Amino acid sequence: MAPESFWVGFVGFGVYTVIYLLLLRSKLSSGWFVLQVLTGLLVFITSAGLGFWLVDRFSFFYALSIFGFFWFCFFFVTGIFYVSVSVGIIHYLNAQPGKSSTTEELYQECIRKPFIHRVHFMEKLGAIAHSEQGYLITDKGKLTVRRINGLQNLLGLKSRGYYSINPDQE
Amino acid sequence: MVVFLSIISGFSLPIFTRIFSERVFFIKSGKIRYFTASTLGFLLWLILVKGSSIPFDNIWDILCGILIILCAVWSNYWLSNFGGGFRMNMLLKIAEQERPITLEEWMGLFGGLGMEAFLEDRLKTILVPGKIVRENEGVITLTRGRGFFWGWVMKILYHLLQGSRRE
Repeated sequence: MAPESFWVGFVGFGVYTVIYLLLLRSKLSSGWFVLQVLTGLLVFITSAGLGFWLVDRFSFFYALSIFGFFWFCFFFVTGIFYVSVSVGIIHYLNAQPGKSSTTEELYQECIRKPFIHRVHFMEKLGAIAHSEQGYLITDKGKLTVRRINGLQNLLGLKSRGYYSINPDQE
Repeated sequence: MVVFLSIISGFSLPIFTRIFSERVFFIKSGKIRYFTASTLGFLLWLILVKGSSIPFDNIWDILCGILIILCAVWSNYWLSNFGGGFRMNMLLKIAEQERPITLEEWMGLFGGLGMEAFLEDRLKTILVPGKIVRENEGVITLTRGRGFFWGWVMKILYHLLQGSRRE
C-alpha cells in the first residue's frame, strides 16, 4: 500500500536522525560525513527490510524517495554547519562580547584555523606530506587530484572558490 | 513507470550543468547555471510523464517522482562542491607545486588570490549583503535582527550537532 510505504520511509528517517544525534555524542572518532552516510544506509536497509516483512505490497521506491529527500535536506543543513566558512564567521561573532570582532581576528579564527584543520586532515589521509621544507603532495594525493580533475572535466565544474571575484580578470 | 522516468530526469541534471559550462551555452554564474539545470531537469520530467500517457490519478506515484527529482537537485548541488570546495581548492593548488611550500605560501596561493581575498569575498557576497553582519572600519559586528537571529540558530545547531566536530 502506497501511504504505508511512505510512512516506512518517513519513520525510518526519524529513527536515523535520533541514531545519528546519539552517535555524535559517542566517542566514535569517525567524521560527520562517514557517520551520516553509513547510518543512513544501515537504517534505510533495516526500514526497507521491515517494510517488506510487515507492509502489504510494500513499495521500495516510495520509501526510498521520502527517506532520500529528508536525508538530503538533513545532509544539507549539517554539511553547511560543519564546513561553511560563512557559518563559522557567524558562530564566532555570536560567541564574542559585543558580538563583534576585527577582520584580523576573524582571519585568524575563521580562515587560518579551518585551513590548518584541513591540512591536518589531508596529512592524516596521506594526501600530503610535511617535512622541514614545507608541505608537498604525495602520490596518493596526486591520484585524488587526477580523479577530481576527471570529475571536474566530465561535469564542467571549475571554480576558484570565490563567489564574487574572478582571479583571471584581476 | 513514473519512478523510472524520474530517475532518468534526475540523471539529466548533471548533463544540463555540463552543457551550460560549455562555451556555446556558457552561463557564468554558478548559481544561475545550477538553477537553470534544475529547472530544465524538472521540465524534462514533466514532459516525459505527460507524454508517456501515464494517468495522473495516482497521486503517490507523482509524489514519489517529485521527491526523486528533488533528491537529484540536492545531489547536483553537492556535486558542484567538487568544483569550488575549500579542500578541493587547497589540494588542487598544492598539486601544482613542484617543491615543498610553507603554510603561508599555500594560503597565499588559494584560489589565485589567497585567503584574505577569500574572507573578503565571504563577507562581501553573503554576510554584508544578507544584512547578517555590518562592517565598520575593520570591525565586523553581527546586526541586530537578522545577525542575532542567525547567531541564535548557530548556537542551537552547535549544541544539537556537536559543534566541536566542525571543520
